[in-house]
Amino acid sequence: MIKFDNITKSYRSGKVKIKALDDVSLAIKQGEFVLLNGPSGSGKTTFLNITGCLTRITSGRIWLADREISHFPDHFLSAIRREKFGFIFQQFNLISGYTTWENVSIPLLPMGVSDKMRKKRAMNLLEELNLETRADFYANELSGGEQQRAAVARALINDPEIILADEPLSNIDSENAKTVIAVLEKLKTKGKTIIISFHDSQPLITKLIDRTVYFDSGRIS
Amino acid sequence: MFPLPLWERVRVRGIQMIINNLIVTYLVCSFISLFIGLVAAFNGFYVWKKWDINSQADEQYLLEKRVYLLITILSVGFFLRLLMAPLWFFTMHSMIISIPGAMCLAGVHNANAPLSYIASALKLVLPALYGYWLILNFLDRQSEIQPFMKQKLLFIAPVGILILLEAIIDTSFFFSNPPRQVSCCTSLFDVPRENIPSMVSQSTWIWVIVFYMLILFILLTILYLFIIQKRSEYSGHGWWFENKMVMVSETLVTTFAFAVFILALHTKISPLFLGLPFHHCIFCLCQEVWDTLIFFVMIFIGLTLFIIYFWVVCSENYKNVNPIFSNNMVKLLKWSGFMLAGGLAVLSIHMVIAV
Repeated sequence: MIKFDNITKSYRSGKVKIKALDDVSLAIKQGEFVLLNGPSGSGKTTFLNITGCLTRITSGRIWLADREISHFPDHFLSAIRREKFGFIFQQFNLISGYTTWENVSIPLLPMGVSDKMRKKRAMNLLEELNLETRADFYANELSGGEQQRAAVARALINDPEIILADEPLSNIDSENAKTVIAVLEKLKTKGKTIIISFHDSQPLITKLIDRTVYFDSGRIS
Repeated sequence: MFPLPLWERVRVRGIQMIINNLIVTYLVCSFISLFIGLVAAFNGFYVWKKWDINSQADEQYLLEKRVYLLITILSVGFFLRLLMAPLWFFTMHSMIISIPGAMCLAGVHNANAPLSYIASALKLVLPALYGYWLILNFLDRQSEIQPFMKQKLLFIAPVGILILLEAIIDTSFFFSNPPRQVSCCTSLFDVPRENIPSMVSQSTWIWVIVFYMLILFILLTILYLFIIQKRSEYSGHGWWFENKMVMVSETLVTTFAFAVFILALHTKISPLFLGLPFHHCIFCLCQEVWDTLIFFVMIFIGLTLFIIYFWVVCSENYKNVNPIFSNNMVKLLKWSGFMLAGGLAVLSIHMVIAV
């Protein structure tokens, strides 16, 4: 379970202080599929980044599986990120100089997994996402939909407990979106916790959602 | 005037100095080491002043990033120190031909004593201090509350000062080598002097026996601590934890053991291994009997790790985090015992053969 207790996050832009999140409290149970909804700039991405230990909070407390992680040093947070979370970004964030399977297997590198095993696990996932024929293509040689599927595979390679997806269907066509949704559905049946953000309504995933959380100006409305 | 090429001894603004490739290399390493040490000491002190583990301010996060930078540069500094210790002695060795009267490192040291002896001692002390810092840092990173953070940050300052002192001494040593005839080991160590007790200057087994007794005592202590810590399943609190008196006494005993080791080498082991009954030079011993370096380094590392063990477990906050660290502390004890026993074995085998 992940629990957020009165968290705030402020950024400083020059002399202006911007509150991206303001006194947010939320508890997400294991296996829950949570949709974060709200207009652009409402704090969804900041909340996702905080959940995934990518950004520190300004105040408040966070618990992950009964451990308070708000004060953890960065190398502890890196380990948590590596073992517990899978990230799917809106812009895919693949590395263009690497092939598809290399991109997918990157999260296994700091875990010391051998090259052979990394490739094997990457190929299994690529097969599941119908990308096995693109395994040796460089990331910039893939279409938008293929890139997002590769990004999904990368998020799943370390078998994370929690999957965080920031507008994962925004830059892909409906066919590719269906493939991604099918993967998310499968993950839900496996009992994974999924937190997904969209700025608009997404009828394709409505049946999967357990709870919708609305963000507005950094607060849960 | 001197039997050496002109380029080796140069005069800069009236100051005599010896220069060769090794000296230049050493001075460059020394400069880099000084730079690393001072940057680390400055940053360490800055972070120490502002560190607040409970703070969630952005500044705290920036301080944490500085600590990661510190760890990186101090790790580089440690490996540089490891390189600089043998380089220093090689450099000193390369100066033998440039110093009239010098036949081994004793003569080179004597050309500018006591600076040279202090500089050589620092070559052993500084890697040991760096080692302590790295071990403390390794343990600190195992716990999310980072209990040794303030301690390790503050510890960099004296290390930085020592490196600065060392750089000044090294530079003074190289840059002010007076062109005079020096005495070497034969006249320094072999001829008994009235003001030095015979127990320290002549061949005697006393120090070898005291050394063996001390090392056996330390090995038995290691065994005792090892068994107690293993038995307590890492949850028990050793009576010696967080006890400053134990730390001070143990440091004194271990330092005394090392001093006795040097005396044993000087009084009996050198003449015995060199096969020259009246020659007491440790420098000649290290140059001519290669296994001396093995047991010397092993015993030095063993004693250093033994001191470090107590410096860690006697620190404040150790009890609170004991279960996380104990496994590593037992490993440290094991390595200390292994190094001491190994060094002692090499020394003993050679001694049996020599006798």
